[in-house]
Amino acid sequence: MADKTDILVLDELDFHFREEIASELGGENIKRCFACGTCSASCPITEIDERFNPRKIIRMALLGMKSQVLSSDFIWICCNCYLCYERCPQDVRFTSIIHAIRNIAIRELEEGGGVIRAPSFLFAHSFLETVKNYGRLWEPGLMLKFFRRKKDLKGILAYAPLAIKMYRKGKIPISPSRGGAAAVKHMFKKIEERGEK
Amino acid sequence: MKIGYYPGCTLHSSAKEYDLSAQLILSNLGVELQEIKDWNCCGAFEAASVSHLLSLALPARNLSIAAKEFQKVVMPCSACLLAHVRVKKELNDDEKLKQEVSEIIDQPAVVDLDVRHVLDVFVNDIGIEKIKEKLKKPLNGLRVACYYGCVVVRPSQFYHFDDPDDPQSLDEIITALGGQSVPFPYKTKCCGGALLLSDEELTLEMTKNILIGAKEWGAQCIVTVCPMCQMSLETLYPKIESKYKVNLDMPVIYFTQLMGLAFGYEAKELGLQRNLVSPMKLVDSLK
Repeated sequence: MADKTDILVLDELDFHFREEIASELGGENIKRCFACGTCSASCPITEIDERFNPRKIIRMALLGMKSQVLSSDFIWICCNCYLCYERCPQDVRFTSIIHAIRNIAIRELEEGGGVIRAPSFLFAHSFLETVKNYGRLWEPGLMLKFFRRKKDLKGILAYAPLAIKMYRKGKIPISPSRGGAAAVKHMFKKIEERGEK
Repeated sequence: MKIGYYPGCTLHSSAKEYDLSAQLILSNLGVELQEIKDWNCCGAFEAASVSHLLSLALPARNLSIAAKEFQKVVMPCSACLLAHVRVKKELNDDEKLKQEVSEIIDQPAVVDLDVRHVLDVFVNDIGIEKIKEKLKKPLNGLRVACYYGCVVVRPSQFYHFDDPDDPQSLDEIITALGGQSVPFPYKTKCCGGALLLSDEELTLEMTKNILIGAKEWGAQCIVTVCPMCQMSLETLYPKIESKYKVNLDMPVIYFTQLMGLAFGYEAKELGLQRNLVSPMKLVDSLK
């Protein structure tokens, strides 16, 4: 018999979750999955860390385990390598589904006042903030924002020797390069206004 | 025909040597690039995690600007390439979405351009024969691990110029230069670059397989086609050497830098002094 903690409590499932993902940009094909596991067998992350398992994430989503999926850290460690996307015999497009799930998680967070602490979320957020400011990425700004968000002073100090080496080799620009800055700012604003961010 | 150039953010900063060497070699082969005006960041992998619409709007603006002047756009960064071929596919498949994106970028989204990775341009537009003609200093059997990384050949649903599991373009270039491309089972295995800062432990494991794998398969150097791969391989290199107690002795250089050496350019012209893992021993051995 299964351990009691493994048993699904049907009352707690959200059967609408699969529709919610399917109506999200990129999530359209989730219901095509027939659980063959090609995604998990291909995944370079699963190979190292079994907590991340694409087939399991899809299964949990289809079963309606909404809160478990959205609050889990593992939805934030996909490395975007598209191997599962390439190989899926049902064209489920897992990479796009994980993006759709992340988009939903962020939106629900904004509505519910929760906090996502997953480092790759904090990284994406910091990355986009620099892009919003300058139209392009500015690495020093990204690093400072990211480690500040992560509240990880030790982390940024550990990068100091590398940063100095890169600076000496002319790989770190002191001031940001700008491109399309006004247009990009406008783009961010429009998307924020739509509430579809 | 004028060809548009989208360098992407890193080619102006941490990957300057890729920018220098790619433009130099292309110009030597008769391809002159012209940078797209006022381009913006493509959003890399990060935009899609936060907003699907944003991840389409950013590259859509670049392509729409480029379309005013060019029919073809070349990019050296695989992550930039992915963002642009992805928006091309998604907007061509969905007219409503195209309208929505047009509204966000305040101009009609025009994505019907020939979007190409620089590796594809070398092999399929210029051709191996022309590359051979420029050879001045053959690589003399140098054993090279050709590392493609992930998104230059995947997903083939967006863009397809080579086999997504066992690509050959880079191997063909290395062979044409007189080098020897070693069997390398990790050629399209992800380096974890997108997680480099957010999950170093995981990226280290992924990168370790590539660096140690190259050594085990007898390579003397690794060539890359993407600034993100280059960054994770080079920055984690010393950490892998100390954690796994190995002496890698395995410079990691952009394939355009190696082409440049074989074409007879000086190391400095190719920005080889900028690489984080010094390739100077390799450069000297090719003199």
